[in-house]
Amino acid sequence: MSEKVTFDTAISTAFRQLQQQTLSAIPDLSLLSVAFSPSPTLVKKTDAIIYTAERKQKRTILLKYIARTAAAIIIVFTLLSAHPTVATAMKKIFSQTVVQWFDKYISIETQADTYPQQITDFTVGYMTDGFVLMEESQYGAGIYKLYEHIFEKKYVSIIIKPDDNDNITGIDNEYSTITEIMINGNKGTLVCRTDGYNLLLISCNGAQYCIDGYVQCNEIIKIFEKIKIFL
Amino acid sequence: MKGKIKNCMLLFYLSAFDDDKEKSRFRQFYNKYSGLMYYVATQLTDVHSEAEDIVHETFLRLISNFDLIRTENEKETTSLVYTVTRYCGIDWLRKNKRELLIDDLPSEEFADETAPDIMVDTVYINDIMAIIADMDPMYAIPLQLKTEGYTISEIASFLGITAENVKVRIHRARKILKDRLEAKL
Repeated sequence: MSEKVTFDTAISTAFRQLQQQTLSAIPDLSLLSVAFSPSPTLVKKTDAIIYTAERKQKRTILLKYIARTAAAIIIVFTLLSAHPTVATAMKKIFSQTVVQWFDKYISIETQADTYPQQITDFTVGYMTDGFVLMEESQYGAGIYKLYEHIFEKKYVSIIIKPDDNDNITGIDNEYSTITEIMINGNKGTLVCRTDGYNLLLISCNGAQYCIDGYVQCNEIIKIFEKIKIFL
Repeated sequence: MKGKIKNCMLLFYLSAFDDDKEKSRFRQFYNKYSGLMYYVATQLTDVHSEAEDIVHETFLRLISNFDLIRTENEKETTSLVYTVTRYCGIDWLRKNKRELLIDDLPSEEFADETAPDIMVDTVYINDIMAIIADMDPMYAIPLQLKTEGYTISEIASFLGITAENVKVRIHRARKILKDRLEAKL
């Protein structure tokens, strides 16, 4: 028996019957589920997707963090450096950071606080923690020493004097290797001795520096680099 | 080993859900219908890795619309899973074989598919079924989902195409049906 239906109803009925036919031909769902097992290749693919996504996410977070921190530091520094007292304090803080690095690097216990030492012609800014002014000559020179177990030959001294081209330093070249070096545009002489007692002679900003002690040559260079000089 | 791998995939998909209730619902869904999806995929391709990729693609499509799936109705869900897997499979195979995609076809003006219908005698249902079976699934499947009660936007989400595209395809499917039926009559 036939009857008239709308075109949409006819389509709907046709789809429903077709789908019923198709689905009735499919094996039981529980059987199909047991048969399915993704291959290791597919698992690897999905792992790669996860790995890439995680890396991207981490990178984005890190970049955001760096950008925010940098912006915050710039803002804080800009605001604070406008005030002279704060600027001085910040220099001290910076110096302390250098001190921490120095202490860690040289591994010598320190004895004194930071000394902003005034010398006649120039100011040696913030000497690293532990260096003590031992002598101050009439020419404005200074000898700073860092001590620890002096009898075990573990100390570093820094001698600073005006660079008047009359300074003569004798170097025993029999057990030494002498190298001409440039540090931050300043020409210097590095003397590395076989007994471990090394020395750096260098002129900078009208002063001559002599750093020596039982420390490695590269450490001596770093000590010089960390001395802050304020003219 | 097989069980382990199966669980690996399930864990991967579960990571897309935040809600424990949804996770539990999806776990049941995965265990029940993954086999059906693989079965449908193997009907489309003989290559095992391709079939797996189709299943994976379908899972990703269904996960993003999981709240639309009424899992409590097994018959309806089975039909939906079958249809979406078939569509995703055809789509995946076409894309990977670089054939012309229907999505690339220019859009066209179409009549409202809810416009008043012509009347059809039920004796022609078998003819309509034959035309549907012969029709390109890219047109037939959107129309089928529409007849099953899904909205245009829901169909668009399931199939990964725009709502506009769904409307165009439904219109074309209806036009094909009407033209071929008229030719038969």
